[in-house]
Amino acid sequence: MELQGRLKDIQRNGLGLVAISYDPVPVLADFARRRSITFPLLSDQGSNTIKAYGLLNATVAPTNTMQYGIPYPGTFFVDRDARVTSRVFETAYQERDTISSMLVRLGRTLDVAATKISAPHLEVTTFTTDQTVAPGTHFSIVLDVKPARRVHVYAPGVTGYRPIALTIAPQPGLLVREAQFPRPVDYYFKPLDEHVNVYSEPFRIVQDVAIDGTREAEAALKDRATLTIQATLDYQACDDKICFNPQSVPISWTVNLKPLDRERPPR
Amino acid sequence: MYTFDPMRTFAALALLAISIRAGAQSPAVDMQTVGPPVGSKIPSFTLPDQNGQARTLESLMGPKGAILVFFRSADW
Repeated sequence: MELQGRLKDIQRNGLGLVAISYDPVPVLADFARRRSITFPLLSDQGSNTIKAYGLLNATVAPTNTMQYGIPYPGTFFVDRDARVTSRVFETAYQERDTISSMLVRLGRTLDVAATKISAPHLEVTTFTTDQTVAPGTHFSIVLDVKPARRVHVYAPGVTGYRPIALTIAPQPGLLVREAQFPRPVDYYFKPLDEHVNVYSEPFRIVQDVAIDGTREAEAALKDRATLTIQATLDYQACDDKICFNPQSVPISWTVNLKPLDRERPPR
Repeated sequence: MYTFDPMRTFAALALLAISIRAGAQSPAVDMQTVGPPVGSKIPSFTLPDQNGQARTLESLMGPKGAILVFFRSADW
């Protein structure tokens, strides 16, 4: 489980972590030993809690004695009062958002090594939420952007200037999902008497991507050890007097590829 | 009168293939509506952990809350 590797990040964010399945205690004990899992794995044998949560997978027939009782796989974030603050459920079990990606999208901190990018008028540091990914893994690319003193860049949707945009080069096996840009601030440019949406303080772009989980993509990526994602960051920086030339900065990230986790207990 | 239209037959077969595939990939369940929604309070529980020790939701909370992961099985 990827969860164990992120336990420190989760705890640093003040959160407890627990995983629940319908497996009997000895199965969980064996699983925890094989995977060196230290956080609680709870045994909901009989699936009463799974049912109480309304998560019993209704697509499995009760006659399927091996699989009946499994939940729809998903993740809840709750506060101290046990209220759901956020939830992630996938449409297919092979698809999954990594916990690191969830944490980043919720604005939480993550202890990951970041790379500095040289970009005129900006300080850009970037990282991927996960170093190793498999078919079906949903993860995120993060860019922390700090405009130079008195400089601003234009927010997505702005016309008349080059708004900031991260464009990921398409490639087989890589799915580009939505991007999160923070709320911009209104900038009043007196000489032209215009209002524009800009970023002038440090801000974070979170671009969600995924490794295609289809069998075709899995087969195509089978012998690859790494995947390099290439992108360009386009923007235009201005200060209160002049606007600099629009920039197009190439960025790339390399992640390790692993096959889908099909390790099963020894029989 | 029925006439054989290869394009139409092809289109029908393609549609069938897509629907079979969709059926295999995702059950006809809207994953956004299963389980407690955002803002609701989740039910408490007492369940044994991998060491056989009984745990409650309250005992698993960190200072700011908790993450609960429901997964299919550790066995298959």
